[in-house]
Amino acid sequence: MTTSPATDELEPPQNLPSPRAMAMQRRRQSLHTSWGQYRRNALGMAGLLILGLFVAVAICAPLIAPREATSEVYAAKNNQPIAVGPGSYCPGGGFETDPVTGERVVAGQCPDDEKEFYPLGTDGAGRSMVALMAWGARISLTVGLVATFMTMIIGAGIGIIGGYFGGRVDQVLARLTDWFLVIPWIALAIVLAAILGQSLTNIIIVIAVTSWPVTARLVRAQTLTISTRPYVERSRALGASDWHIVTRRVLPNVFPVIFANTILTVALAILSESLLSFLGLGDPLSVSWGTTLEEAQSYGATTGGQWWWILPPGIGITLVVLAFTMCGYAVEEITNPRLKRR
Amino acid sequence: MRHRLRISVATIAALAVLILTGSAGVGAMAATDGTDETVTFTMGITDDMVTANPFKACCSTEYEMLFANYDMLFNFDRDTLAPTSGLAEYPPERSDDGKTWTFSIREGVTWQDGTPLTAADLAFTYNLINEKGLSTNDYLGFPAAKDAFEAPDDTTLIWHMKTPTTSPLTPPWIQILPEHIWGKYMDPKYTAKDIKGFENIPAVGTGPFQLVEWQPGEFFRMEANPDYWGGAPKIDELVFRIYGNAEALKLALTSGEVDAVSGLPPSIFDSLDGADNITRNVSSAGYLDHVAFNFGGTANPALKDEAVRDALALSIDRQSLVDRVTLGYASVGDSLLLPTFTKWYWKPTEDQVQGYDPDAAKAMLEDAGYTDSNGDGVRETPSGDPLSLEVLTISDVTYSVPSGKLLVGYFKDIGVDATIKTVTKSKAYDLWANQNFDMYVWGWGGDPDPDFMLSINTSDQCLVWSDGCYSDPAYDEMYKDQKLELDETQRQQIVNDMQEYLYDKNSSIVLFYETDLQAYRSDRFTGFVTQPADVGYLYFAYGPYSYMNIEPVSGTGSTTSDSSGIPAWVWVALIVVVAGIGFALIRRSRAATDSE
Repeated sequence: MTTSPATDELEPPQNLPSPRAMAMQRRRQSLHTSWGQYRRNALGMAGLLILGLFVAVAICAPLIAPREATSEVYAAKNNQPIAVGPGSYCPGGGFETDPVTGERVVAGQCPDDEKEFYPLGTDGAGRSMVALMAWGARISLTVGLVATFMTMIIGAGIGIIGGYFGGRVDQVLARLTDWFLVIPWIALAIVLAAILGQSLTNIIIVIAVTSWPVTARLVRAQTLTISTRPYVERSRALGASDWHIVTRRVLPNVFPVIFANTILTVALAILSESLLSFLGLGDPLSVSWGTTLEEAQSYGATTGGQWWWILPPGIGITLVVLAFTMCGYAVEEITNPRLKRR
Repeated sequence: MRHRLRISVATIAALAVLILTGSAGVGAMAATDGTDETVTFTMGITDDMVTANPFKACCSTEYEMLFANYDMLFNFDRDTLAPTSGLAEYPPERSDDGKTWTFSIREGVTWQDGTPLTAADLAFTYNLINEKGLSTNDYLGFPAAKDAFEAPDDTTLIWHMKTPTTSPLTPPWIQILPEHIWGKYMDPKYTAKDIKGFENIPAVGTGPFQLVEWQPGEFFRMEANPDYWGGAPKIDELVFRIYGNAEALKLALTSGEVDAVSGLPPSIFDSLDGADNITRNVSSAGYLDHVAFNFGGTANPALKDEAVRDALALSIDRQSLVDRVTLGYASVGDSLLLPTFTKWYWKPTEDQVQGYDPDAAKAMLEDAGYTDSNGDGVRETPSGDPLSLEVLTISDVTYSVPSGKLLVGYFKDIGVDATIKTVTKSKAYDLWANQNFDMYVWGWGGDPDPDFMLSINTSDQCLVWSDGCYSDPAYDEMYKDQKLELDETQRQQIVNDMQEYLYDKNSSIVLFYETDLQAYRSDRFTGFVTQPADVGYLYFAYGPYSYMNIEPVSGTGSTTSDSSGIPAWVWVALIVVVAGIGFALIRRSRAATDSE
């Protein structure tokens, strides 16, 4: 017992790379092959392109419009016109009643050079839709990604633990998963959001809490098949600890499933954020596409004809969700050989 | 074969159109002719009643129902809002010592169930309120507690006062209830809580309409009272239909599902400009919106410091709220009384106006010791805590959330760490009951008499109508004085002083006076009246005058297919669908013959 195991005394041959380096090389190679496969997938590439566009917009938001441009007070102080369509306008409080005709007209008359150009119009508070879209992309993408990350941690954790350890642990975790799976998620999300209160963090928590079960199931199923593979048994026979097996054998093999699932979950998370915000459960002081839609709805933009207020965030959500879904399917096709096209 | 089929499709399409337009025309005629048909006036609203029980009523929808269902001692005049004869003749007789008031009660009035009304019913109603302590709750300030009421005969009511006041002329905002129905509650075993638990459907009153059915969340229905002492209404039924949001309300109006709507948000009201057969009405200021502070509970104690409230008041550009939140359908606020009631409204002089001045606000905070000592952009209180305030806004109140968002921006400008929280009304009531808020944005309607509005800042109203429990002995004293003052000019002076006092102390910050935006179908009903005259509200006013006066537009041909409420594009769509089905049938039959 006091002497070190025999394996330690074996020096690796000098001319061969270390096991770690070999593994790294193998992974690099497989990544390279996968990327090659991905590149040939037109759908996946299109998704990636759309996504890149939105990510660029989100990152460049401060260059597109200052952060203050998304605040109501900024619009008020600059006297930006209210709920006007794309075009150039004079500063003005929005509408005023024409003293002669009694009609409600856009306020303010001024020379052309004092006019401000609003490429996508303004919302009911007079904020430029361009600023709302750019900063909204930030919030929507951030919430989507962070919530998904949390979903993955919870889902993959529970799935792997259940699938690997089996027995009573699995029973309990599987029932818990089923329980969360059968609860109507939207009702649960609304209740949770109402209890936790309105903040971005809470929205993220709500989305994570309600969307992990699907991931947990997928990961558990995959873990079950992997834990019976000969190399796992071999590791166990060699005396590897559970931790070692889970992190070195199971996780790398479950990872492709998690990864493909992650990308699809982001799409769902972004949709959920928009939905919760649309229902008025979002953070009232942060600008996301969902809150913009909610404000448009409560202003009456849908029947009032203010299409420029509804279409951009609507199209934004649709495109980002579509892009993530397209990427997700492409990745799934690579990681799951059965889906490979012939 | 194919040929015949095509003909039949065309025939079907033509027939369908004929039948549908025909039936729509018949429907429109039936609705406007109204000889045998029940004439129903349908009002679209977004807020349902909370209760049908007058002792639990809180908000405008209940008051609208109560005004149509009940009479009061005196009603509010249609044109001037001054007290006018209701169940009692106006003015009453006052004894020389001012302690005894004698009212002569209208003869020949019957309850909606046929029982005659007597002075005993009035005495009973007031005594019940006093006896059961209802006066210490919602009815505070109306019949002064422990006054005695007696009915020596069927047409005389005597009000014995402990201390002489002008309460009877306010007039008391109390629906007169039938003793033969509510009488059992005089029994000592019943408490105020039991009385508030009475369902009160059908509600028996003396008004022109009677509440007969209520489906919470859907509608409530009132039937006309043909024996009303003020004359029978010209409509048979008054229905209030509840909609989820203002947009649905607008669609219901344009499609003809409802005949009138009230409380439209300005954007939606504007979008109805020029719509066919729709008449819009902008009333004079009917509500005020204010920032109400909490002086106890979990509120930031800094709010008790007048300097902080003054600074907050100076930091707000009220004109921009009017322009941007109400789209100009409001006027800048100052006093807690509505400018509509010109007799009582006090306006600050130019020197007194607390206009938008963020620099002065900053200086004020600086002087009072609220400085940003750690350089994080947020001021700290003299005791070192960050000056953070939460603005509570209410999602189902039209201007609350957009106002709150602007307020947060203005507060941040002067170095206050302001955040916003949005809840529904029901959640807000909860927070208020526990005094769990810093400040909220909502408002008040207001009576023609200032007594009630002035009472809400008295110490006695803490957690009754005063959510923030403002308490100031000097103010309480003034309130008592105006209540006891019998001379109107003198009282006016005290009321003015009280408004000035509140404005100066900023017990709450009145943001603006909002108008009520209403619209109705001019092709369906006519005879609407505004209260007060010319500038007032069509409905949701201070009496059921429009409901009593409206009648269906007679079917003189001015209204035809429009009143069916089905726009032209639906017909086009219908024809396209029918033609499409026909085309599909032809294709199928051709395919069938080909395969044969």
